[in-house]
Amino acid sequence: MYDLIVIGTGPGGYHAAIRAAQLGLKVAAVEEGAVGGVCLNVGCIPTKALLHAAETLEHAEKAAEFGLVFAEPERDLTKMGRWRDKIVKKLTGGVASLLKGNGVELIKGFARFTGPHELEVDGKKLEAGKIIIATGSKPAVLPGFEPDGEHVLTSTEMLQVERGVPEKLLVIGGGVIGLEFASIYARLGSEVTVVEYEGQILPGSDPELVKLLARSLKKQGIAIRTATKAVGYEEAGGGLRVTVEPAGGGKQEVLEASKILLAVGRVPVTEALNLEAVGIKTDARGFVPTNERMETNVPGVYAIGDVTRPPLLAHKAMKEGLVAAEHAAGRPAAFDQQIPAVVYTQPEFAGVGMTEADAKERGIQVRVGRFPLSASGRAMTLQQTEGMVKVIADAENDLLLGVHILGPGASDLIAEAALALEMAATATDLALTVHPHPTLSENLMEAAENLHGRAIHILNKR
Amino acid sequence: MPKEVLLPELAESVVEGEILKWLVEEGDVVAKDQPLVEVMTDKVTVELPSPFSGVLVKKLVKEGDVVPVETPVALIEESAEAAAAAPAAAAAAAKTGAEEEDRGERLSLFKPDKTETEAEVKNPFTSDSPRRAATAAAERPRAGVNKYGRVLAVPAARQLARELGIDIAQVPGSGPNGRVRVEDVRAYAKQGPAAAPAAPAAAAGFPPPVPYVTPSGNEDREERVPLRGMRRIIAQQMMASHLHTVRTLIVDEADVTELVALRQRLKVRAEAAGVKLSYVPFIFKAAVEALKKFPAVNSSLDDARGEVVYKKYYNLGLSVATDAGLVVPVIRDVDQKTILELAAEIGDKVTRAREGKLTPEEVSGSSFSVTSVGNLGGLFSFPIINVPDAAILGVHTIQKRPVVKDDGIVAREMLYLSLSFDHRLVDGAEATLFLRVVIEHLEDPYWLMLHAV
Repeated sequence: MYDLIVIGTGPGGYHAAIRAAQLGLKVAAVEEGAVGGVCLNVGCIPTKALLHAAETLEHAEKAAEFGLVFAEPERDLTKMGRWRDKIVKKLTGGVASLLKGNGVELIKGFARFTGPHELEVDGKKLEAGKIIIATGSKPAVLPGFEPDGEHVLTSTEMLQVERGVPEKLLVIGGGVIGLEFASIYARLGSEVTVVEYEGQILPGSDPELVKLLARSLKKQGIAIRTATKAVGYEEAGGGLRVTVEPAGGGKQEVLEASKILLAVGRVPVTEALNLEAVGIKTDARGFVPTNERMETNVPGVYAIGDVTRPPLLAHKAMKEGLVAAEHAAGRPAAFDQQIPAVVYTQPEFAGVGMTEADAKERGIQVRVGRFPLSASGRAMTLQQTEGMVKVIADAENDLLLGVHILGPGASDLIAEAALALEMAATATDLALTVHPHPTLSENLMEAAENLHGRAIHILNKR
Repeated sequence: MPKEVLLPELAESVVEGEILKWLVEEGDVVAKDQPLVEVMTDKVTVELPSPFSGVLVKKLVKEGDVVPVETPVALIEESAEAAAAAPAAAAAAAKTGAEEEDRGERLSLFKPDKTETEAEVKNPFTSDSPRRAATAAAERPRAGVNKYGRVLAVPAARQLARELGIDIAQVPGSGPNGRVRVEDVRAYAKQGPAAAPAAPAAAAGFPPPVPYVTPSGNEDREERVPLRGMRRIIAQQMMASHLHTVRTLIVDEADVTELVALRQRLKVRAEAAGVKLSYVPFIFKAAVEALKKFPAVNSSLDDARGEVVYKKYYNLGLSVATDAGLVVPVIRDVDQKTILELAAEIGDKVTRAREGKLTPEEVSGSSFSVTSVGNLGGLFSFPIINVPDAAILGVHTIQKRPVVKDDGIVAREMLYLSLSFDHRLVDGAEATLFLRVVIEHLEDPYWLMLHAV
């Protein structure tokens, strides 16, 4: 009998398990696959490793501008893969020992519900006062493009860079995963085409910055076809012929590819958990709805992370895990924070809070401050002047509503914006805070100044 | 379009109700008049019947919420058609979902899902929790109801509010743009919800309540129970009475030897008629005779209009201890009923009070109250006035005590009576004489009989 069982040890699951153990609960974590879940094993971490490796190639190339010319690099993809695995192994090992060190019992196997407080793991019954579902998500499938491990690959398979770099890679889906892999393989030498059904890549993100990002990606040799639907493919002469058509219907076209990456989003993993048997509700798409304390409709059963609702982000899962664990331990807890989002393209894209469109939907008059990276000294020294910082505030009271950054280091810089939003800061607060020079963080301050027509390093349009 | 189910005016002068328990779930098909939710008002629990049949699309209030009347509490998709269509709609939604999955853009990692309706938490900027929706309808000035759909509060203040069990949306923020700071939550916790918004009490030099802090080392030796339902209502009523009356006490005693004998004799006959005859009907009758002579004791103060309201009716409340707490059923027009009729009605109401089955009307509208502390012990009590009444009569144990009579000491059946009265409305002399009249009628029950209806 445990106080708490966590199903899944991804970012959400291990956060929940460790926090619950810290609070004195007797905790078990059930893991069917590898400790660390998608994020550590086949998601956030290994993709960032490969992105760094691929970016290094680009840095070497661009160094010629300041007189450092390197010989054509040798590419040992097997070694690259080993390096990736080493990082993954170190992190997953770290998580496993953190679980152990906190007294969390790790149970290998597949859990299914046999009661609201009871699970069966490979034939063995486990009882717990509370249960947290943290089973995560898996790649969604597009009919006509079922992953076969050969022609149509998922992100998991594309991580196996040692399998080789396809000559022509067609990416279906211009979301986070599609664009990150497009960036990796474009730098490794693939001719990449991204096909996106919606009118823009990263649907829902600030369109102005997305447009700038698309321009950068095109410069890197990535072709982008928005408002385009992938219809089907066939093998032909050792390659693949992919049929696409305009999203609204129209004339079909054929694109050539050697491999297809299917990245049309992810779906929650709930089947085989036997949720119906204990009355845990799922919505039409299989997500498990929860309240802000991460409780499902069944008392004592929580759900966290990708299995609950979009956005499917590790840091959202982590926070939800902490909330569920704390609530399960009888502490007051609720998820009521802003969720920043990051895309590791180059330049990086990150945002938190409302876009202009979100504000408009709520009937809020906004003022927008912009600062282009082309005006940033630090960006020039980094040879990365593509991008822009946008600060959105309520025109009436200057309250900060959202910050969107396209540029190097956006993934780190967005944390300042998240803190500012949580503190209900105004654009003036951002503008009045001293930022060190020369840094990329200054650009946030400058964008906030621009919102009031007072940026120093650009001419402010009124 | 789903229709709103409004919290009805459950009884006259009832302005709000506490949501105790939902009896149906979202997605359930409900029949007309099927109970939807248990609501508590003024110490009475009622089940709110569904005004129409259909599918409960959404609950707009949570258990524990206190909502004003006319507040929407649920959304119901009306008609049998809708009910029949519900599974089809769900199927259609599932189908759309599938298509979206196919395209993938709905499941973008980047974008919070806007179509999500069931889940409460998403990007907090783009979601309204049901509670906030409900309070918006309540039209209370609350920090949480703003165009951002999110309370402006720093994270530490949110956490402190959670720990103190305070709805952050209720806390007035003192920061820029009304941002709620940690100090604001602390101040609110000290002052309590009633005082916080305007803080008139503090301004008048009224000390705030002493905050309770667990003595260190005792954290595990205490149990904390939310102040909910009946206990909360009782606490509010008592505090209102304590703060807003000038409560004054007078105690006297009655020699009820003859009343004891009379009741003893009549008890058997009453029982034959199926009525349990207690002393309460006699006390009620005696009180009514005294109230007729001293109308101030049967009055209320209408502070808002600066008027004293003299009542030409005699509706007497009777305090009843129940498992759930104190309940005061009201017996109407006591002056127009016989003692036997009163005995029957009191018996019935006390029974139903203990079962929690009184209607809101049956516990409201008293003009004077009687509390019987009788058989529990205690010499006499200082009862708290059942506001807005002007006074309450405490009735105690009848027991034999030595009394001086004709210069000799005799054993008599004696009864202490305590009258708490609001000195703003009733003068001391009036109160004393009122109690004398009550005593005269109790000491000579045959005199009381002459006034019987």
